[in-house]
Amino acid sequence: MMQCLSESDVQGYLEESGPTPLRQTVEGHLVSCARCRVEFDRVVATHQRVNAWLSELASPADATAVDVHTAFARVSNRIDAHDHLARLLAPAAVEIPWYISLYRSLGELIRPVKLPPLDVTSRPVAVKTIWGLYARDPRSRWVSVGIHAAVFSLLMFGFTSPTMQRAIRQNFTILDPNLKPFVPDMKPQGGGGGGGAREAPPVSKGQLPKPSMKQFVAPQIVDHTPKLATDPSIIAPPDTPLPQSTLNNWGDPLARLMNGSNGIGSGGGMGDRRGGGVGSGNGGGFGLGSDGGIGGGVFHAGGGVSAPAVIVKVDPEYSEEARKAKYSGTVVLSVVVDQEGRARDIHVLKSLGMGLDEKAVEAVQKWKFKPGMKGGQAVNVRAQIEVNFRLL
Amino acid sequence: VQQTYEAVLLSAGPPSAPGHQFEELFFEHYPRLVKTLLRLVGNSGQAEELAADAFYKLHQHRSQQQPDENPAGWLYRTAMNLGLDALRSDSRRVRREEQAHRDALAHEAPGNPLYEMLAEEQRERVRTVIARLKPIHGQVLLMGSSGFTSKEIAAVLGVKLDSLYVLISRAKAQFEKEYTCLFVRSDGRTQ
Repeated sequence: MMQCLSESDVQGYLEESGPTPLRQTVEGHLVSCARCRVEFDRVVATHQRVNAWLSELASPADATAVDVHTAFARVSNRIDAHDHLARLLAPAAVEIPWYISLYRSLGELIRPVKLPPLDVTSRPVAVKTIWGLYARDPRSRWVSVGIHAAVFSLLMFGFTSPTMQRAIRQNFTILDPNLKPFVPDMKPQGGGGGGGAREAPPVSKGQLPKPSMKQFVAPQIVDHTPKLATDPSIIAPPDTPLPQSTLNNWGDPLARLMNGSNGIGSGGGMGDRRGGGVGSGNGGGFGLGSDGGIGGGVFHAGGGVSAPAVIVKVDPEYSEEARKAKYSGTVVLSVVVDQEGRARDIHVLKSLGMGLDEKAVEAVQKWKFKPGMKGGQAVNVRAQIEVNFRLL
Repeated sequence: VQQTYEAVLLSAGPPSAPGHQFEELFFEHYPRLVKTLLRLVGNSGQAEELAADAFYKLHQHRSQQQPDENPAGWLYRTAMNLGLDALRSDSRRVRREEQAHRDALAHEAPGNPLYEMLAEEQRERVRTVIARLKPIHGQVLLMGSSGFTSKEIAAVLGVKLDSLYVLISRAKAQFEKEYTCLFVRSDGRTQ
């Protein structure tokens, strides 16, 4: 009896077509073997069902034509790109660790590798000399000057329109701006101040404290923190314009050095003389002069300074020449009434002549004044006095 | 042995263009490979893309290792694996299904649009089952349904005909089992 059909035989029978030897063998065996027929029927049923399901995969898209040439070109490009990249990127094996590279370098330094003699196959070719000393060639200098002049002229005249040039000319006024509204009025109002701490260096450069008619603390550079801090001030009317400085320390803004010194003077301020002010004067003000205020000289009436008043007046005498000529008029004098009420530093502001000016000065020198007062103290005040000469 | 960079560059040689053999292989198998993959993934663009990937991998494989004695077998095996990977990818699959439904509804089919949609659903079921099979089983079934003869499939796989028949038999049995398990109700009707 023939051996029963194998799984391969049955499936081969189904897959092959036509009268093949395998099919004939299977058919012959199925006639005589009932068990194989049962198994065969089962396999056929599975075969038919699965083929039916798989046939569902057929779709209208199967009829779509495939562009093989385009696809091949695309794959070729991709392969070329990969090969190019592979050539650019060296494999990791090429990279040598630094210590091995160092070891080799040292080895080659100690024992240089003897290379075979170089077989030079190239020969020198004569070429024109391209290097030379161009610095001493006067032509290059003039060429350079010419190029610079041309470029400058082009920039100034070629690339600027007349409108632009007019605008530039108009804007030249910015080189001479009117700064008068911004410049503090430093007209001396009389007085001044100074002080110091008997230090060797001259007074330091710095900013001035606020002006005030009453001074509680004189400005000074101190190296300790006061227990009761009070802003220092100089004696001057509060609205007095003062020279400004951006420095943080107190000092004389007109000084040249910033050395932290309070000056060689005394009295607690900063400067060369005596007092609680700042500068080269005496007193609590700033600058030359004395007894407060700024700018040096004496006080003028106003701004907290009272005008001096005449207590004892002596009439002036007439000169002979003026009497004969019957000459009359007014002589205007400028005087400084000192703290004792005397007139000094007398100047003639308006002259009459004929000896009357001298007579007027002689008379005023004999006058007795109540001095000008500032803060309850007598100060030197400059004043104008008119001396009248009348013939009865 | 350490190699210098220059040595590596010199040994690399000029860029290797696809050889004549590769070109022959491409023109011989690309259309059928696309058709086979089209049945598997259901999208012609994706099928062409997968086929090109398979050829590219074949070229890389042959340039890095010893030339394979059966490049066609390697090619189909790789393409089938790529197709199965794509099929198993949920995101792609969902996208494709949605696209299939849209296409079925948007394109006015000559027959019944509902029928086309049901047919696409059936195709998706078959693909789902194939994705659950062993790759070799899926490959033989798919190639068989794509028109490959048994001898061609055996040549591609590099197996004898007897072995191929056993493989087909077991693949179909496994397919039926999986399909029944997934989509056939207890009363024998398809879900």
